[in-house]
Amino acid sequence: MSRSEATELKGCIEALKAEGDRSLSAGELSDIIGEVARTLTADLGPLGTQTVTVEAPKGEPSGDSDSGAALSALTDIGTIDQGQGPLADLWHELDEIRLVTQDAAAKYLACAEGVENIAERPDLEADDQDMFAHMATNMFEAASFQDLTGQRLTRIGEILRQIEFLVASAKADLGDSSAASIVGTLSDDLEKTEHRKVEYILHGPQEAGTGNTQEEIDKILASFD
Amino acid sequence: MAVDLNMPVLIVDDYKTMLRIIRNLLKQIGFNNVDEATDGKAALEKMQQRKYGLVISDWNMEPMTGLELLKEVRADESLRPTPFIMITAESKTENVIAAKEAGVNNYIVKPFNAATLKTKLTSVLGDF
Repeated sequence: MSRSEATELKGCIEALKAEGDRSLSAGELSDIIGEVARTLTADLGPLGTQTVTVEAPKGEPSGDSDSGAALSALTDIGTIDQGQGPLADLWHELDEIRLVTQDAAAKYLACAEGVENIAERPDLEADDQDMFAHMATNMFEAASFQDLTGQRLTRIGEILRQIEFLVASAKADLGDSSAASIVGTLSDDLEKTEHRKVEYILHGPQEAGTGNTQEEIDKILASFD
Repeated sequence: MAVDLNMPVLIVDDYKTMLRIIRNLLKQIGFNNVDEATDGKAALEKMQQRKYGLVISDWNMEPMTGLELLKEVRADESLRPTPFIMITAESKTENVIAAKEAGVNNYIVKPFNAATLKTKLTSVLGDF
């Protein structure tokens, strides 16, 4: 109640007292009651429409800020197709490695072929021809590094796609609708890759001891005879 | 009967480096009539155009793997007798068995050397 309103109400009551034992009419009484009620409710303001914000004291976690921080961190990882973030950076680096090794292998093979051409020169002694031919053979064999590293790089790419799917799934679970819209597609792609591996028995290059050596393979083949 | 070193040979691999390696090693042995394909489907199309005395194929290729190519070759009456060697990084026992059951003549695991290639060629084609 404002000072002026309080003063006005008090003045009204004093005036009534001054009139003595005069009975108040119903109208006068309702006016007074109404005035009191109005002044009181004016101070309270609109109830039920205000948003209550509770700020957590510093150092204590609140449930909403945890999810927000997690979603923010996952978003920072990015996606491969967006071309931004560490995931896309890794994908790009793999591509660069692939191109560089491809280029290196091509140049290396050109050198090997050059050595082979020297081996075929008729003016060379037979021993020298054999030496250069043997050198070229060794170089051809060594050049297969590009095929094997390429297959490993392809496998790393598949793993990155799996990570991308896991990140999108986590974001979707935290309420990110744009992530939810791509989870299905990512899942389908991964499923197709895995299905193809199973159907066509694709394991890729193996570490020593996990696959068969040439000798072991020869024994397996011989067992069919 | 000695092997005809002039017979056409088809090598199949999705890595151009590997095609170049195998071509050069075959050349050292004496095979100079070599065609290339970068996957099973392209290889099959070539085989339907030309009669090859030997196919040397990788396994993991798209859209058609070497295993699928092998099965197609063995299913086709005109192509069935074609000698087929698999050269691949797939070294698990189930791979070798699957290839053998599909009709592969021999199987070389990557990385391989020239001596192994020559030994397998001799085993499949005869002495040369």
